[in-house]
Amino acid sequence: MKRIASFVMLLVLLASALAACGAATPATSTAPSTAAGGTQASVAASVAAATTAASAAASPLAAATTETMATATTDTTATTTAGTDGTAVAGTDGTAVAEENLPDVSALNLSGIRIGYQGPLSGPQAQFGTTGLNGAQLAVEQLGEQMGFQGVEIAQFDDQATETVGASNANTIAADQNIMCVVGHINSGVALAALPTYRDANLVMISPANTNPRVTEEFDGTAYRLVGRDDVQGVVAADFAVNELQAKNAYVLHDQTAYGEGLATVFRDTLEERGVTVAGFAGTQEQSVFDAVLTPIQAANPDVIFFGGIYSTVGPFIQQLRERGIEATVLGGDGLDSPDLTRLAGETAVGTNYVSVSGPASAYPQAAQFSEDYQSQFNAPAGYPAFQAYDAAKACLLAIANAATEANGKPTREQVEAAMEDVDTFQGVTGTVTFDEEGDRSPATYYVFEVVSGDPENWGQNTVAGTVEAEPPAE
Amino acid sequence: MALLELQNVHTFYGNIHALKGISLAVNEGEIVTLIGSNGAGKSTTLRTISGLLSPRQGQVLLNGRRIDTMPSHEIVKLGVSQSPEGRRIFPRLTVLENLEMGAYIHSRRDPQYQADLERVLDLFPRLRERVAQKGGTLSGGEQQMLAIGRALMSRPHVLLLDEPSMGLAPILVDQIFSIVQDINKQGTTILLVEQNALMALGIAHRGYVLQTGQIVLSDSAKRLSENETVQKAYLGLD
Amino acid sequence: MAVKAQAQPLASRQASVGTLRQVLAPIGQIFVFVVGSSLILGAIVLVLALLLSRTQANLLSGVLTVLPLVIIDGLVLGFLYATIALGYTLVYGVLEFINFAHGEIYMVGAFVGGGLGLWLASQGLLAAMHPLLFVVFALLVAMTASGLLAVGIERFAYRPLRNAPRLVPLISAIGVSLVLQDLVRLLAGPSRFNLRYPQLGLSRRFQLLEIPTAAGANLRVAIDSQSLIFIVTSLLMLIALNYLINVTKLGKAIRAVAQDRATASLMGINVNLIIAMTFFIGGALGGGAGVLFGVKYSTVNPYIGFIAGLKAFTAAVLGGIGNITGAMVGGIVLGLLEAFVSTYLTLFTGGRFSGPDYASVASFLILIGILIFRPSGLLGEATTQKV
Repeated sequence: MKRIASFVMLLVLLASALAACGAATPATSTAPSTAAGGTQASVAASVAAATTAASAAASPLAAATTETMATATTDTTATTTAGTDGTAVAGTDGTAVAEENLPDVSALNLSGIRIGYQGPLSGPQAQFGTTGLNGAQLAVEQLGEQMGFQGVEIAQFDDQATETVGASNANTIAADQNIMCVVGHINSGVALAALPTYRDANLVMISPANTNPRVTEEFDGTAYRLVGRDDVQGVVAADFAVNELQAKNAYVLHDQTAYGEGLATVFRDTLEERGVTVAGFAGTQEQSVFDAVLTPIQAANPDVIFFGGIYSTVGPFIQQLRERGIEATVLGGDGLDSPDLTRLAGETAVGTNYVSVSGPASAYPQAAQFSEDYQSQFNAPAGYPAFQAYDAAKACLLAIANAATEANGKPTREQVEAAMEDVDTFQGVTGTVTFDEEGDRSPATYYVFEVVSGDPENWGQNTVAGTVEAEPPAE
Repeated sequence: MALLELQNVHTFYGNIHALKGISLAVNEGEIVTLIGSNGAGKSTTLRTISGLLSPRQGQVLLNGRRIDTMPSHEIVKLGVSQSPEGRRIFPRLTVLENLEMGAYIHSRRDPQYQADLERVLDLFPRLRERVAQKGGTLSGGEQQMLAIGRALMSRPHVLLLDEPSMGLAPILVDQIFSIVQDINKQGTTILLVEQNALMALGIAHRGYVLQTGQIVLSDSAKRLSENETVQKAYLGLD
Repeated sequence: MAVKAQAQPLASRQASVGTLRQVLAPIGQIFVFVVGSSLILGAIVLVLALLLSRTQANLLSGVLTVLPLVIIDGLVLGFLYATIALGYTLVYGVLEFINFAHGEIYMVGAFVGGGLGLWLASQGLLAAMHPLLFVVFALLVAMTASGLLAVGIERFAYRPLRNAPRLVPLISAIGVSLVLQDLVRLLAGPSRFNLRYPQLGLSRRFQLLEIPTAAGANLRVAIDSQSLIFIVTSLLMLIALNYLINVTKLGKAIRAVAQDRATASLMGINVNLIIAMTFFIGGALGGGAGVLFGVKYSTVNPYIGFIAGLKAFTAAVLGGIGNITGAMVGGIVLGLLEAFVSTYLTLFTGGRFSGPDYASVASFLILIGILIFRPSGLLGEATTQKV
């Protein structure tokens, strides 16, 4: 009797703990979706507006041609206002970035300035983190010299794509008074964990890859991003699913991170608005054995499977999906934008579609020189998020230089923070970069890709199925 | 030269000085008995010989060769085997498997193995009846027989027996001791450690009396049994 | 003469009957548990579906449709746990010690197999090889490597602590586990954190049933050849282990050492050598499981050992720690249980609770339950049954 009683008590305890968790979880996961839901109408409107402005095609996602992209970039350039002093708008004919007017601080003899970098440098997402690091490195080497800094260097930190590590590193970064600016993170969840520390230290963080809306919404003045946001990315993906893939029945998965769950939630909510059946919405932290996730999918027989997650998870997932004979089209977000997806999934990855906040090399004509330099220095083609990290580092350098000029010497972090707010627009390798008051890139461009080859070397040949340019949603 | 010899052996359990300079000899073909009361150090002596314990001082010699620094499994190969205190048969192995383990140092394909097995089962017919039974299900007497039989399977030169009469009914003790004599007549030298001094001296050729880690008396078995001190202390005679 | 003649046929007759029974009986036990667990779990799920179908339409049909798939998933997972559990139970039987590093030994085996595949591919030899030949080759190499690793770990991390209080070698084992995880991670480098096994073109699917679904198309219930290889190889390993432990001299020596270490040395058994051999065998089994995992799930990383090891250890305890068949049975029951919870929890709660997250919770809850009501495990005996 005693044994039964104690076992029952244990079960009751656990059940109540579960109930408590269950009550908590929906609240946090609905938060992004309600925010997204509220802005969806405006996003749809702005998406429609931007694309009708950009191209003559009726469908917002006409099959990509260089024409569409060229039109988009020309339009953007036309509407750009002159930015901060000294950064006159350059031409869009692929001329090297060095020819523009960069601030010159050589007279100030600034030495010992460091720019922090945080990203996953080891572990399953190392490909993302090191690519970003390389891009930032290149920027600091080239631009630092051109702008007259007496040696700027990157202080790199491996956040292992883990919240606790990122937050801990943030403390170390904050303590190093030579670090004036931070380029990072790659994972939105990790950024959210580290940002309170950056904010308290008056450190500006410029992300080459964070797409979760909360990063800029909750850290006004501290966080900036070079890429678009999930509350648009998710809508773009959903529209693609509905219009191009003609999905009637979708299954949505996520990896339970702030990024993955946020993106998947937007996607699901948009689909439901468009009247598509969402057969399932599930999260998993599983990295290798997906049987339990695949069985319900097999039973639901969806047309499309959306996975809000990173290539390191989705790669093996796709492999096992195809081995089961499930033929649904796979759709994902910018987390899939890495050649490691095909390294992990091989031939099975062919036909996967993903939305990215980074375009193909051809979308960045100004990046020709950068791509060349990147290839020769790092022996690999430049990819996402190297372009964005370069521009993020450039933004940092611009802000530091401007602050230094005003302070007539080494600036404080507060001064850099203020200077960053004034960096409205500049020319980057990803085109004209404009930050709005929130710190979001406005407008930002979203691309829908399709994987064409099972060979990671051919990642750059993935075809673009559509492009969308959009402002971040209004509050 | 004695077959088995201990020279001034001191063995410790941690800081406890259990054997305080034991010297004894066992000659080929003899039955030598080591008698003494509880805690005298009898089992310790056998464990030292078998290599389960290492003497801090002194030597153990087999045919003049030092074995006190060798690991116990090597000593078995040299022809010294033991039926340990408390029988210690393997409870979840069958009788046959226990005997197989006794013959571990020989290959199973060795033709002698079958002969050895036969010999043991002849000596202990009760075991033959229970060949497939798990050792733990045997009675005390049967387990003792199995322990001795198992020790014989390695074809030892010297057989060490640790208190074979412990916990057994007198009639069984008689049986077992008679079998021990048979074994000796078949050519095995025996060192017998016993609390039951009467039985032990009854079959032994020579004996030693052990008291708190030291040999106090050493003589032929006959003379020991006539010794007054021995009679009073160990034989219960007045 | 007559007496001699009697003993020989007696001994050999005993041997052959015993052998056959000992070696094949476990298969029978496993079969019973597979069928039994599937039936019980299936029944529970159906009853729940019936009770809940008032609030959710189509629940019953949904539940039924997925049932065969879930059982197959559970079996594959179960055999994975079972094979790893064999290593735990073997070592525990001999030393009464839980080798917490065993999960990492399994992981190293997986990496060795994957590394071998990479190397063969780079030498251009892989394409010419028959896929099954690669699997066998990888198994042999990985099993040897893992076995030797286990022996090495025993020698340097456990043997010096053999006389220390029980907790000390346990902590040493956990330390070894952590060291191995990061060592492999370091050696593999960031580019090979997720190591992909060569694609062997083994994905032949054997269709078992077709079930009509509410969603329209028929649901094809099939088992792929990787899963079959997995299950068959695991069974073969079990049979081989059983034969080894119950019939061979080495096996009996292992059991003798497990039952009475000092007396075993009085038999002329080199106890340290036997213990090393036990670790070798256990490690080899773990390494083999690692290769099978890589072949089936195609990607391995340095952390697969941790959770799998924990679950396999749970399985070993569930089945009765120290009992070989128990380890397999425990693994299969655990695998089935996890598969059922993973899929059906999501189904029953309409997605509010993500099944795979709570599968582990369920496994460990059942473990607690079994230990409260039947501490010796499913196949254990009242006293700790050893090897």
